[in-house]
Amino acid sequence: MDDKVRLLKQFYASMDVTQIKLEVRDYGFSFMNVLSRSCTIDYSELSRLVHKYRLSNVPLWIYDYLLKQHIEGNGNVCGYFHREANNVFCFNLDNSAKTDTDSITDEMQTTLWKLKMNLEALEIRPLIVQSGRGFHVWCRISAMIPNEELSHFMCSMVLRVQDFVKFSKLDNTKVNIGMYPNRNNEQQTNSLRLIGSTHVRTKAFSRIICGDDLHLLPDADFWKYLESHMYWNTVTPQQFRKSAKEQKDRYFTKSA
Amino acid sequence: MKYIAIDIDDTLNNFSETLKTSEFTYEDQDIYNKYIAKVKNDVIDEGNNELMNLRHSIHLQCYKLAKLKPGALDFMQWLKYQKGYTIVLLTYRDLRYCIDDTKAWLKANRLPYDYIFKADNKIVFCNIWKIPILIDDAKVNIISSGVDDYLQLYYPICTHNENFVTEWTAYDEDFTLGNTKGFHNFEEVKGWMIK
Repeated sequence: MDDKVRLLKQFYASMDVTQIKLEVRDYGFSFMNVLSRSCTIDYSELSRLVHKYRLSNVPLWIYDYLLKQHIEGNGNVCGYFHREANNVFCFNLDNSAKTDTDSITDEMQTTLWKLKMNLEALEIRPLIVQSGRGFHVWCRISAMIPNEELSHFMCSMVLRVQDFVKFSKLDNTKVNIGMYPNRNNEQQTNSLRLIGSTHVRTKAFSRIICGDDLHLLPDADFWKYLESHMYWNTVTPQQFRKSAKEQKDRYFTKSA
Repeated sequence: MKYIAIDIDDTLNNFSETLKTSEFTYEDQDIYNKYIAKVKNDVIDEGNNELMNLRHSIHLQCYKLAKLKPGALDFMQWLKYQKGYTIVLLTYRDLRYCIDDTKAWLKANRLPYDYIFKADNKIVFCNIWKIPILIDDAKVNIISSGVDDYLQLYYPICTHNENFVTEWTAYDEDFTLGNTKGFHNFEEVKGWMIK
């Protein structure tokens, strides 16, 4: 198997490999026929001239093939989280309303900075990917943790970050913070674009934001950075639970 | 192969009527009481999360409650089994949240189809996918289809669009319906398609 495919599969080890959303510029009924020979097309979308196909019953060899296409920039694979437990969780920071500017707003910048600081203070170092005018903030654990636990940790973190943004005299409703996965056993309706590819619409490669100054990583360093990030910054379940407990005790338990 | 694209809400079902006349449930009764009238009148305010979340929830309930329009089943079966069309259901629904309910409703009503698509711009979709016929009630498509030589649009005449062509013609003197035709029942469409 291709090293990059292996690395992506390792990063997203708990993602549902039988269901994906494929974003491509390919379209047409013959393309649909080819797709439907090997998997089920649940539905399709055309949005801003990108065709999206939600596929289920995807065989593993097709999943691997599509991941390779994803890496080679021939389309994007978006993954669905596991229904019950996951080894990755993600904060999806997005503008809550359409803005006239293409630049990152103060609210977005502050939200990202505070989220990163809070996670790092709990010894969780995230992988930050710029996505349009927002960010995906990925955290990785070495084993699967029930969604209920992940969700509880993320909700608490979001409350803390939103409080800080408000305290900074900024409008904390201007940034939506989506949390993935959903709570335990809930249907995972939303998919997230996997990293390591050229965006099918914007043609931009996955933009990793790193360092204390939140600088943009050069594209050429992506795979090496990802491998190193996974090696050094994957937390153990014990560490995650310790961090979650610390957050709960310090910020959400009333003192006697 | 012959292709046709057909909308679901207010084309195959009575979505707007169901929205106006049905009772719904929502977890926050205060928000429900505050905004339900706006939701029923299809008011959209992207900046108001409370309204938009309620709207989303009510629409999901409405998709399940809406009833098939008279003649729709017969028309769809005629298209599929007698005329041999490949049927693309083309909707504005956010299918991420309602694909299972949508498929269940189609199955319960025995409606044949080949594909389900969501498209933000249905005219562009039909052009790209080379689908020559669209059946859809949306005003935006009625306006756009008139200038499109390739696409034949048939629109069901409903309460929300029945006076629209007259009003739009008064607003835009150059507006022409072109090949676009409004219909009151599916038998009319059958007649046009046979010709």
